[in-house]
Amino acid sequence: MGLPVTQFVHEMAGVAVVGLIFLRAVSLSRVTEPARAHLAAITVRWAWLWAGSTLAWIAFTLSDVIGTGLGDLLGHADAVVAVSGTDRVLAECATLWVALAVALFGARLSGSAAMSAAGHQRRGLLPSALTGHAGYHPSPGVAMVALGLHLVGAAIWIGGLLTLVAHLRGFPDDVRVAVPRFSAAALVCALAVGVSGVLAIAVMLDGWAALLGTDRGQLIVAKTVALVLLASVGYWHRRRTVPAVRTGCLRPLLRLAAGELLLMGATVGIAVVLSITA
Amino acid sequence: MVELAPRVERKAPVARAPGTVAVLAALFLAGLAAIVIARWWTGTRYHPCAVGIARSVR
Repeated sequence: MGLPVTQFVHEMAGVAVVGLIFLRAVSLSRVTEPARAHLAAITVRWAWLWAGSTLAWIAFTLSDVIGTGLGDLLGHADAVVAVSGTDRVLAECATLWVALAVALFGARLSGSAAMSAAGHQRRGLLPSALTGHAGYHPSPGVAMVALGLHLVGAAIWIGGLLTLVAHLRGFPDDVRVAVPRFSAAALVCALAVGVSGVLAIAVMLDGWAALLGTDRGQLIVAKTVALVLLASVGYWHRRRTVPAVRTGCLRPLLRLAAGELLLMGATVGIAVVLSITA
Repeated sequence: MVELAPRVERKAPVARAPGTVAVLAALFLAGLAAIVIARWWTGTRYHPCAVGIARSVR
């Protein structure tokens, strides 16, 4: 369980960093100074968790590929050096550098620098994903673009919502400014996740019959059901809770979004298992 | 009869939104539960590999 659990923590921490920086850069350009400082401090905390979990993930990956326990890795120094040069481990190291950069310098980002960093953080999530299943298909280019779009859309959507619900709730005026802007971004992200997901299935799965006949297919069906549920929740947000926010009532939004985040966590968990299922 | 105190309208209690710690804990627990269930469903639990780099190096 060590590998999927550390990968899940790594994914969630990376998503949180992307969401925090995206919201700081795009949705909260007129945010108040206390909220800006709070989000900067939280970004650094998540970035350290991202870096730490990436380091643990690299150790578990080495253990998995070499075929030995974590405690025995030092006894197989030659194998560790050999496996460290593989695409998979190098990609994880690239993510580690990005996470460390945010942890060390994330608090100093503001304005256009944060905007630029938001783009780079999204790229930090990509290397590991693009060295997996997507690279080993008849159409690797299409599969990689689809998967990249899928990841970036999901990261902004989940991370942005996490920021609003968990970290910005203490600043109601800023939430009122951010919610309509984030709502528009979330709609675009949901569409991107759905379209890129269908494209990835079409390219990476051996026929539509494999959707029910294989383990990968069944996990994809589970993710699709979760996406439909999340889209329904998003529709409910746009109908009910976002208009309520404009009148000053945040509580319905926070409650529904908390439930939505629960579903998102489960979906990321399924995605982690999908990524390690042949 | 004289009313001494202002009448207070009884309102229906409004449910509180979950706090930050509760949201984060639920998020991680949901993910871990999904991992356990998905691995059980697909039978992709960990199997020690029969051959591996560690064994070929030694």
